[in-house]
Amino acid sequence: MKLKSILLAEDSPMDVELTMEALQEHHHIAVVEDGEAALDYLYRRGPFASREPGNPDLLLLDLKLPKLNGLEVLENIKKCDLLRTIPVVVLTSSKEQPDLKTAYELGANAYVVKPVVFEQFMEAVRQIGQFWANLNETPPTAPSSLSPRP
Amino acid sequence: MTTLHFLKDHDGLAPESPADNPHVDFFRRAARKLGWVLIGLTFLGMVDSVLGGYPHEAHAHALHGMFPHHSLSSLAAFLLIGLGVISVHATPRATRWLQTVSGIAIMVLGTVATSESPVNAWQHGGLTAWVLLLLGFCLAAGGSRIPIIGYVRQSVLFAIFLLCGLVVTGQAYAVQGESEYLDSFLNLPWTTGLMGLIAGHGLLFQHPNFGIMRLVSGEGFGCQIMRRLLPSVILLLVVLGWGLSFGENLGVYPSSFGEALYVVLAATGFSGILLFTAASLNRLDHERRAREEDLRRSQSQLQAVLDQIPSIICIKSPAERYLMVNKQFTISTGLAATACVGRTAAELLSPVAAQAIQRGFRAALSTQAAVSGVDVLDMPDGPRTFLSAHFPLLNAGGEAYAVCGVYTDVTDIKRQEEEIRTLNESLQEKTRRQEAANAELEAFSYSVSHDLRAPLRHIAGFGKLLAQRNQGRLDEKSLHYLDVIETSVSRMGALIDDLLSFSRASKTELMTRRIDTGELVAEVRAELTAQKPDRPVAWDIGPLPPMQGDPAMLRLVWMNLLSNAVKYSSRSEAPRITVSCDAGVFAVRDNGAGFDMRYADKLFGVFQRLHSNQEYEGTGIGLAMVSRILERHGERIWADAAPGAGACFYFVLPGPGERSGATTTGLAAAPSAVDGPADHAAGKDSA
Repeated sequence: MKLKSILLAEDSPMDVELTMEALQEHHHIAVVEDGEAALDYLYRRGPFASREPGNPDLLLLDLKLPKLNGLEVLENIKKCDLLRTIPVVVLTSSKEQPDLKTAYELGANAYVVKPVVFEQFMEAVRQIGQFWANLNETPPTAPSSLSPRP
Repeated sequence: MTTLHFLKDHDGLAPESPADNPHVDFFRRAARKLGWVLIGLTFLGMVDSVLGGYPHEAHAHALHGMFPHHSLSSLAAFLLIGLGVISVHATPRATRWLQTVSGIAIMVLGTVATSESPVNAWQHGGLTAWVLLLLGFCLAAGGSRIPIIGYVRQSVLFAIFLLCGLVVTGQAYAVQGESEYLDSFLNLPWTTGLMGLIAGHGLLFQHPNFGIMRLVSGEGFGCQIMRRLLPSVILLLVVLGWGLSFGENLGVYPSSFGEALYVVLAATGFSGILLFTAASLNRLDHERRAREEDLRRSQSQLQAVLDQIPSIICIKSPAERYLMVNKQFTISTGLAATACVGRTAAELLSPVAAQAIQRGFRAALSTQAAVSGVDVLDMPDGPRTFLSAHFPLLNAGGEAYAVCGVYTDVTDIKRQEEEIRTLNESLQEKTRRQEAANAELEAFSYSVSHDLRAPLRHIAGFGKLLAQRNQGRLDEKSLHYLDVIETSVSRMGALIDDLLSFSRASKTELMTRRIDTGELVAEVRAELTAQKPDRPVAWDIGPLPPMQGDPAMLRLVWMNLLSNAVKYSSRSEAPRITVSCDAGVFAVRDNGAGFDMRYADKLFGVFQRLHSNQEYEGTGIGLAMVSRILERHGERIWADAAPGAGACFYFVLPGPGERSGATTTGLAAAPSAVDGPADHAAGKDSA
């Protein structure tokens, strides 16, 4: 069975490492460090122009990202007909109500606050991977049609 | 001199004034009625002329001899006079012309009558002609507005009265045989004299406001006496004279006795008339005094009101001279009222102030309407700002006879407005600063939320990974260190979370509504019981009235208070928590550890704890947050406790429909160290 692919948009190398620790055994994970790179990856442009076609099965999105922040990335994805079906789970340190509200208004599928306690964090990330990447079904897309936006 | 003065100033021989009184109207109506009577008599005369014939003719009719039948021209003249008298209220200009033309026509007709008459002017045709000539002049002169002509006209009318009066009374007294001339004079038809009298009175009454008629038609006492005495006296004299003559002619008494009787009766009659008039005048005088007293009282009240009003009030004549000033005027200008009356603003005030006042005064006078404005006037104590209003005082004819000015000193109000404006600006500045501070705080909270938690997570995460990587290779000490790291990270995380909750409780907008307190407390209790199912607590929850407030925040209040009660009573043998409400004061009591009231002032401070973390876990935020939330609802909390004897927390919350001092933002309010009465102040830490 093919490993499910996850795009992790996270600027903190330590958070990347901890998240990978929780997920990597069961998933194929691509990591981008800022919002612009996340969109480049999804639209297969710039440094990712030659990546294998197809949408990731899950986007784990931090909110506090350099260049374009997580909410801007989310807004862009949900406006694009070919990307809007990608499940987006916001994985952030922020418990702020405005962030939560805006994320859901923009179409986030889930919003998870990163637990401070290690076990809780690992468990949360594992469950996210298990549910959204493995159990959740998304409609088929035509990845080859993806082209850079004007 | 007094009489002249009186006549000139009040009821004198002056042109008619536009202000008429009821008596003036009476005389005008009387003039018209006399005109109609004259016309009627003229028609009768014409009938007499047409049917008539001479006195000696056998077929003479009933009217025979009553009218100057030999002169149709004189009848036409009387008809014209009648028409002239009744047309007094027609269009003035047309009336004047009509009267003048008619008058000239009558004079011509009179001349014709003279030519028709026998040679002697004293014979009745000639006398009729004279009467008509004079009446014609009076009718023609009635249209003139030249006073001297008016006075001459009235003099002529009195001559006519004498002439015609003599004819009528002579006929009435049947005077004859004493003189040839007198006989021919007095043998005139009495109707001629009567028509002359009627015409003369009609013409006199046409102008009731002019000359001597003002003494009859006016409002003064003299006029009233004239109106009462004149008809009575004339009537009395005529009747007595006629009675005397009648008695003598019948031979009832001799002439000398008749004269004695005349004197006695005249004296008695005059006395009676005078007595009646005196009584009447006394009554009028009494009424006048009463009216004067009323007027004086009314004026006194008005003056008192004017003097008590803290505005400057003055009345000025069209010549801009002060007629009246109130007390505030004298206070503000430092001038006595007597020094102001009769003088102008330019004579009393500074040029700038006088100019400002004159501007409003002249505008009101020229527009005949109220004019208002704001004027800064130089007063003895410096420039003052006034709200000014000028309005004309109008007479019955709608013309301004004076202008009233009202000046209200609004200097203090203006200053207060300026102060309020400055305060508002200052407040707006503070609000701007507050908003900036709030924005900074929000940014800080956001940063805390994001940036402080991430390193903690990393410390915890990598510590744990380190332990996993070296499983079995780490000694007990190393494992203890890793445990300490983990515990500290966990506590730090809880501190950050609580601090953010506290910050949110301070700044989130309140969404108040009615809350079922009993239901809310039951929910919180169920949640707490579920968290520690192995720790039995005896709950005693009394009836709780509904509250009005923000549901999410008040849930935090109950959650903190009840979880504190559970936590601090957990070491009691039989934990018991009582929740009640008495007279609007909610109380949460436990039988737990309690605390020393000496440290009560620290109870509701942020991060303040009265127990160590080893004794009871906590961050020291919970009660600070409870206090802040209640503060934002405009209410307060206090506590009572003793070490080992449990604690009781009291707080007040408004019920639905009650007033609350709730604030929409709580950032400005800092939690006080001690809330409530000093003897109840106490301390305890949060859950």
